[in-house]
Amino acid sequence: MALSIQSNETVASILQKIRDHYGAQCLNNDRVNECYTIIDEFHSNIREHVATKLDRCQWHLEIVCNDGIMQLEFEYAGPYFDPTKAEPVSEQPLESRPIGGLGLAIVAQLSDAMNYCYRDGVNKLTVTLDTKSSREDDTCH
Amino acid sequence: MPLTITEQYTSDEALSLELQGSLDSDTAPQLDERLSDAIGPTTRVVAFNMAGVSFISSAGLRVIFKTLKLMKARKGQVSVSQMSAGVRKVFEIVKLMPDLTVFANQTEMDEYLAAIQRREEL
Repeated sequence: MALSIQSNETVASILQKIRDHYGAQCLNNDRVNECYTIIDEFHSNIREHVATKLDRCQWHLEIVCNDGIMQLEFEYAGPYFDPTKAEPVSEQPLESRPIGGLGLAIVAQLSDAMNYCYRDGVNKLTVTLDTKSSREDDTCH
Repeated sequence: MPLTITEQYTSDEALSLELQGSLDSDTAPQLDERLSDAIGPTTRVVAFNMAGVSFISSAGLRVIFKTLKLMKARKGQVSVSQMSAGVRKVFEIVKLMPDLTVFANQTEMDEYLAAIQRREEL
């Protein structure tokens, strides 16, 4: 069953809710902190870009853990927005780079797969993490 | 997860903070505010001990990025020590690592800050 998250909930309360609901069996792996980073990126995007236009806004999260594969399924009602179309991180020197706009690139790079669909006014994003693969030695480009 | 910020060292030129907890969209403003208060007109080095940082998101990175831009504009630098592999990965994704001074442990960072202090005392 998916968890319902209000846009005004704190990150700490969301993560506690997730730990209480899914427990160590699902979350006790090397990539759980990457999972928390992704959840915070999603939540802050909802707060900044969706909730500001609505009186009340909530989103839903279901985490499916199966044989070392962790899938985060995010859903919210709102205008079409495909987060898989992230701009790459700028190659410009630090001095000329904008400070913001990094969240989607982080989600894309932390995940092993991302799938997005929009149906009946609902955005659905599925982010997959393979917890059996160590990412520590990955080279980032 | 709350963020605890402990000031380890402050001088005219350098500031060192130890961070514990998560650097997320709720806690990043807390760090931003603390840095705004602590960074003086002559600060050129800001050092973060990140051993206790469990995870970081773009909101936390923005604060580090903003500090880095300010220090670079002053011909200074931002140092980090003891990042976990996960936190380091996020810094790598946004291509900030080449602009940071990275220390493997707190002892190295302390020696570096002590050298700044000796220089200030001359």
